[in-house]
Amino acid sequence: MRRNNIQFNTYFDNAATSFPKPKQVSEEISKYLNEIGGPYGRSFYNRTFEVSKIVEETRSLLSDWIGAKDSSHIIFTQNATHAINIVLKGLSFKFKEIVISPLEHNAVCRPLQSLKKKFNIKVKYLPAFPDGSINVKQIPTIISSNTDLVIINHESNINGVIQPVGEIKKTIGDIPILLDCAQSLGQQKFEADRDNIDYIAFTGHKALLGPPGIGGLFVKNEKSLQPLIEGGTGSQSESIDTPLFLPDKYEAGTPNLAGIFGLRAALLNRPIPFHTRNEFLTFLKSFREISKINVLCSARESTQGNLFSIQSHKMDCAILGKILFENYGIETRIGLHCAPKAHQYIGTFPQGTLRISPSIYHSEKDFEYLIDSIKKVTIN
Amino acid sequence: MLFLFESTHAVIKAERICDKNGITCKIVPVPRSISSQCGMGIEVSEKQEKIVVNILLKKKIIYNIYNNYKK
Repeated sequence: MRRNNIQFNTYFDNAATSFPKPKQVSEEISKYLNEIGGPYGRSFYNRTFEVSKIVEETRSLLSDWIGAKDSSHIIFTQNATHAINIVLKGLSFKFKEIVISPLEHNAVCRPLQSLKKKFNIKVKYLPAFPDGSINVKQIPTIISSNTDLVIINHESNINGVIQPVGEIKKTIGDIPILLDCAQSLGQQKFEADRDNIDYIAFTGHKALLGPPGIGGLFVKNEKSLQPLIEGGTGSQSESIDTPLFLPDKYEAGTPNLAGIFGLRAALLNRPIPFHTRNEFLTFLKSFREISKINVLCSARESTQGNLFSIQSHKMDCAILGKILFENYGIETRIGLHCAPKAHQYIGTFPQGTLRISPSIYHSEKDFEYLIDSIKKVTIN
Repeated sequence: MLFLFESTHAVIKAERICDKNGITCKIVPVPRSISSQCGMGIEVSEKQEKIVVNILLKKKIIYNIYNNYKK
């Protein structure tokens, strides 16, 4: 958190990977590796039972965040990208038509590009406002009875726009929906059962404050998807057919147990936020008042997530990021953020932006330090 | 009495519910004579069988039950 004697939290790249983590995260990972060990399931002794209990407790904690009553519908994956691939490569597309938001990340766009090439899948875009927020009233002009799937990046990883997923699902009715919640799960809870959501992809290493390498997928109906990976599950071992029940159908092979221990510790030891929502909104407003930069954010405060981007009028974002780091120790993400389609939509392609993504650990003082530093760089 | 379940998820769920209801149970390996599954089952006393069955039915946890499995 401190670099060159700077007394502030200078890490503003939490949308890539959050830092710091609750101290219990590394302690629990270490405890698993050094003291507990053992597999998930597969045997009966105390060690494996203890590990299995922790895994299932973590699954239950995640199902609370997702709003799913039955935790067996939470599948552990490596990350959100892995979860999205399970859905896109496990569905059979009867009509070969997928509708997506204009703010999708390459975690969605790249597997879709493969599907387009292999199976001639047609991809359509939902109607949206200039900031990328979906125009819900216009959705019926795009979807049809031939739409196989709708995909929504719940919170944009560029401008932080949060999409109205409940309203979108109500509008599309029975058409299955996949939510990419890589940025948002941890900032807010979901109501998957209540809102009749089909698939939710998420990761543990961003707003949930867990370690990298562990994420998950909520699957409402396990009959809808073929597994991406098949192998040993510790169940039905007499058969060479993959089990059809949850969660085993999608969890072949030993999961990232150290990661699950760390994620559980993060879920159980969430700190009280170092800043309030109003302080964050004031921080964002301060950027709008700097004359020499553009701010890329949601048009409305109510749909603004905890990240946004900026562009200097005169300076390449890479140069701005370099000066901020070298002169002030501030760490940000510059470029296209693996979301070229989203940048094209909001008009920042190919130059990209400098993204500012605070975490729960930033105080108002840290915000002031960043604002002062950016003012000094852009004015000079 | 031995209760077997389709997944580790279900075993842990069943054990947790038994524990909450004050039922003493033991995690045991699945005898090869019953199933070639690798994994764990839950052993309870004969006296507690009906209580456990009722709890599992109420919670909609799928199980198989075995007697005399120690032969």
